[in-house]
Amino acid sequence: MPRPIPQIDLEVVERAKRGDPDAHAVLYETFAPMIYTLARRMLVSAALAEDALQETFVEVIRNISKYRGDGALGHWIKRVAINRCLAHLRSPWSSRRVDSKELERAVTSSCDEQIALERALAELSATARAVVWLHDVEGFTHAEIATLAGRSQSFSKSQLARAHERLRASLDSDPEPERQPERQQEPEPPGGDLAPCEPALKIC
Amino acid sequence: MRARSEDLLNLPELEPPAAARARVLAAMQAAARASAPRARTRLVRLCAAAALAGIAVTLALRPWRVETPGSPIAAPGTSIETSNAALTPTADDYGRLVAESERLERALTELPAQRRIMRADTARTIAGLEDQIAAIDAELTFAAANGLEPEQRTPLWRERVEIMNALVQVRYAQSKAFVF
Repeated sequence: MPRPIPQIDLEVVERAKRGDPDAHAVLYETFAPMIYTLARRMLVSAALAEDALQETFVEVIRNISKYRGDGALGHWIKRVAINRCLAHLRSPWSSRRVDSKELERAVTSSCDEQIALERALAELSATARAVVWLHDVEGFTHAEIATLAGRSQSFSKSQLARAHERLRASLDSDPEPERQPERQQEPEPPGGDLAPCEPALKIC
Repeated sequence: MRARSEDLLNLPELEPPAAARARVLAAMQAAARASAPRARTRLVRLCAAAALAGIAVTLALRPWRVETPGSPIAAPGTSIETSNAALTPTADDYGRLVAESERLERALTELPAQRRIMRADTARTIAGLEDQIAAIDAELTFAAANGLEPEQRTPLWRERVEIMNALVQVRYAQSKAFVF
């Protein structure tokens, strides 16, 4: 069961289309936590997540005039956010390594089990992390993930299986969540598994 | 692994840093302002058309007008006709604009390939026009998907033709320009 998506009044959307700053603020308050969470979980880096947050809202405002209220705005915004995150992961300019500082900042929970899980998730490769988050939390199918990543369904399936395996191994061998991370994530080549491709999802 | 997926789902939602709010809202406002000019242009055109229509009605109803039987209010092809056409686009307009757009597209492809080196302001102008055309194309696609009648899409086609025309002229001038 994926996370519920926040809803917003169409009247606010109409005001946002006219450039009303108050409506923009309502859009931000409603959807920013959803987008920021998604971005932090996929990108780990707080700075990159903030960039993705801003880029998403800018793209939403640029294209909101095309939204006619025929679907949930939140779904559309989430797709825009995912595309932004994937663009960051594909970019040769984005650092694909998660250093120990980022790893520590990635931990936001207070309960031990969740701390271990957050750390294990952050330690996955960027691609595996994106696939596991999109599949397990956002409820995307392998076909949808394959379209988003510009890869095959079997790629998505194998990435997910590998991610689950690594999560399990990491959590089973990590009874003390407070310990400092000892190993660094293996670097991925620029472009790595999420090679640059035509954006598969268009705003509609 | 289902349990693990549920654990992932139960991870807390994160609040963006408080400092991000002002920055993102400013960026949203800037994006809204940047998207506004085209809408403003349309509004200005509509106001101009409405003003012309108003003048036409005033002229038609003016009490001092000496009317001869069967005399037209205005000659065909004057601004009055143009303004009425702008207010209520017809299927003819639509067809004419689409055909003109296609003609300009052909003209564009027949121009010599873009020079690899060009002035920065020319490149910026060309990129800006191409972006505007892409944005209109997206709107046209969306309008068609939403079942808007051709007559309702006419203003967008008119705008596309105007920008295409500008692009062809810039590209033509640029292809003839001497490069130092």
